[in-house]
Amino acid sequence: MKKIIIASLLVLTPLAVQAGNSAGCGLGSTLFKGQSGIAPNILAATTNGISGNQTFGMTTGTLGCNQNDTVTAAADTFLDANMERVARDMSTGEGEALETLATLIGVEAADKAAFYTVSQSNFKTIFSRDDVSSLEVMTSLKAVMSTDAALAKYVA
Amino acid sequence: MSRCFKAIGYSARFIFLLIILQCQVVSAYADDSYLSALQAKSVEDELFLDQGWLALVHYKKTLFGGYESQTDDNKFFNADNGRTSPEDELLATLSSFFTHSNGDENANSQCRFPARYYWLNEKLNFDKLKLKKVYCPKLEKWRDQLKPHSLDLIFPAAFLNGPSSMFGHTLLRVNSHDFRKELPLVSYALNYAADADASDSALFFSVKGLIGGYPGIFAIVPYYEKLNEYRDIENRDIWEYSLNFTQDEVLQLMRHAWELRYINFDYFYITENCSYHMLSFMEVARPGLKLTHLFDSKAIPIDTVRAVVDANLVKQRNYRPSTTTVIEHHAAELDEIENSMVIGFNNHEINLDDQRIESLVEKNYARVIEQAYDYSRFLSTANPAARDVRAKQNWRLLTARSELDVKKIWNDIPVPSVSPEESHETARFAIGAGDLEGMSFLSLKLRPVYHDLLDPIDGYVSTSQINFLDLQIRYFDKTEKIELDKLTVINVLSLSPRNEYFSPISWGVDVGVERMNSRRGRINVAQLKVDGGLSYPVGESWVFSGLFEARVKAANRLSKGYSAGLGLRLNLLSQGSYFSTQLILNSVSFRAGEESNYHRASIEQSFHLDRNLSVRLIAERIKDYEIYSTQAELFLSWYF
Repeated sequence: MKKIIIASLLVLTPLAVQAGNSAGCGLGSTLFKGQSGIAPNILAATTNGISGNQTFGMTTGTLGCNQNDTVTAAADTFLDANMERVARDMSTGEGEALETLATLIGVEAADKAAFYTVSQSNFKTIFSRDDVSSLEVMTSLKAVMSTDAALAKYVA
Repeated sequence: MSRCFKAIGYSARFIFLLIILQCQVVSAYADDSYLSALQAKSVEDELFLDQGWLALVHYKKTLFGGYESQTDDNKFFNADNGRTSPEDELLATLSSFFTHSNGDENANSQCRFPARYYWLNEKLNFDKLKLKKVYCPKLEKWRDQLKPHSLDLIFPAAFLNGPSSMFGHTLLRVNSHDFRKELPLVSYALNYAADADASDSALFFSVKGLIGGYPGIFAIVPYYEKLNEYRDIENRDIWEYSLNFTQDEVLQLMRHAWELRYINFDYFYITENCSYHMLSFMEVARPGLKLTHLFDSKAIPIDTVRAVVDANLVKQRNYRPSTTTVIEHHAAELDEIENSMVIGFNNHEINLDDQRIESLVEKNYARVIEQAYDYSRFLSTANPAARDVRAKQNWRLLTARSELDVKKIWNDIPVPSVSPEESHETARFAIGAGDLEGMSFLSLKLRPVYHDLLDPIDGYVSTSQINFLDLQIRYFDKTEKIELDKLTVINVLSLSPRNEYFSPISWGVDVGVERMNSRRGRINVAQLKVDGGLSYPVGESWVFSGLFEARVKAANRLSKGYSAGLGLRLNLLSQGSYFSTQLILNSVSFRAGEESNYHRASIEQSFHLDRNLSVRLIAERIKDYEIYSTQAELFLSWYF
């Protein structure tokens, strides 16, 4: 019932017409404070409806903005859309979102354990604040990786 | 000139000059004799009646023996009568392939209909010298990005509190063949959904959705977005079924997805819905596969999953528990004190540096912190306004967790022993016998959709029911009369129990016609019942609910034509693999319209003999208008 009410409220507000931007380009998300994305997603999910501009064009935004974007851009986009999952996984040193990020950055299977350990022990440096942006997280993560013997080669 | 119009028929809005330009291009390339040969061959081979062609244009046989496409969009047809003529559409499609335009890629039929081109080429083996292949850069780029490799059918379980998702939902996941192969999160979800008008309310959505009032739109989004919606926001368990389509078949499916980019299908909530069209995609991928014909009258998502399993398309099944499922299982691993720490922390009653938390051994400390974080995230998702308040706390929890070097601190979440497709089928036919105040009767019941509290529970979400168009009639020996006992239009009831973590509201809506007592004897009464209240677990397997109930009755033979009242419903429920039991005490005081005091006590007991077979006994005693009536009924239900 509560969800229905929330959904009903949402459909009446202009918020509903703004698309969740989480799959778009650019690094706009912050860790816990970014509200955009969540509210429209509740609407989308609850009604199985989708906002008008969320059509096939979206696919080009999935892994970077341009066809020529490198894998790093894919990692950026993924991180931006999955900040909280990645943060949670990183704090525990395991998890699907963290593994996905590692692969998108290009970390090979043999170095993944190192990636998990290093990022977990440097969590406070990488996710430095509760409203840290995904751009800052990526920058800090790369800085941390560059100081590790096994991981430096991925950010050279 | 007329052929030119046909070739670019969809672009009627183009300016005249452009049309002339197009015509010149066409006449420069078209090889009329080769086209005629291709057309003659396709007619001779009756390609237009081939399952592959019928699937590509979404043709269905009409009642009068002809064909009609389910597509509700003229852009999808090359022939003026393409919607109803598979033959003319095929001939016009062949003709359109000879059109070459240097401008917008979309003006080239080969680029707009790549799946048709692929299929017709397979059948007719085009001579590339006489029918030039057009280069379609946007399509190529799109395909390069997706690198389609394999398919999963995704089933997020039913979600009672979303009107469009009550029966569940299905979508397809397209897995790429590059480094993303092992990364389902960054593969793509192919989703079909109603493009609901943002200004329509949830209730309106349900009604409009039933009658095809919304356009349906295909969309491709990253799979992680769908997981966020279903698993994290709506808290639905997700089942993933890996399908055995080959890469070539998946490629053809994606070509077809491209064809449907901006094509409108009217979305029908019960019939031509998300699940129906996932099946129609599979029929395009593997011509000859017959799935949609099973779902002409209704396509309940779980039934379509069953059909896909029955057609031997599934290689493997994977279960992703929802956020709330995870929290519940982890709560069961924590002891009472640890759980109270998690709750206390989220109520801001204790801090992380509290002596009681810090004195825990490392593994238990890590568990409490993780559970506190997951629960905090759940709370802030449920209530976005609290996100900012919780932000600092969430960050502190993660930071504290990162300082503990312990892994695998939880047992794996067990996969439910019965998966959704192994549950009972959603249509029910029942035959029974009973006694009403000394008058014996035989009863017949038919319910096309979906599941009630006393149906076999395995594979369904517990403590919730949806009955739709449930018809129950009785034949009385004594009077030799057939009577309507009950016609339920829709009956939804959710009795999710509350616990220290979750506090759902119990609610119900029941609309229908029922035979009941009145001042003028037993009459048919239209009735609306609305319930709202709370449910709590009792012991291991019982749920107790207390609900307020409002009722409105309408019938010509009621004095003043109606009767309205308020009351209470007490409910005790147990659902098990072999037995389900429900006890109800119900009192309603009707004080508007025709007045009466209604009291009812009932016990319902069902025995689940098999997945699709169940026996039920209902005994009830009613006091209404100061008259007591007692009835008992035993019936056998078959699910099909």
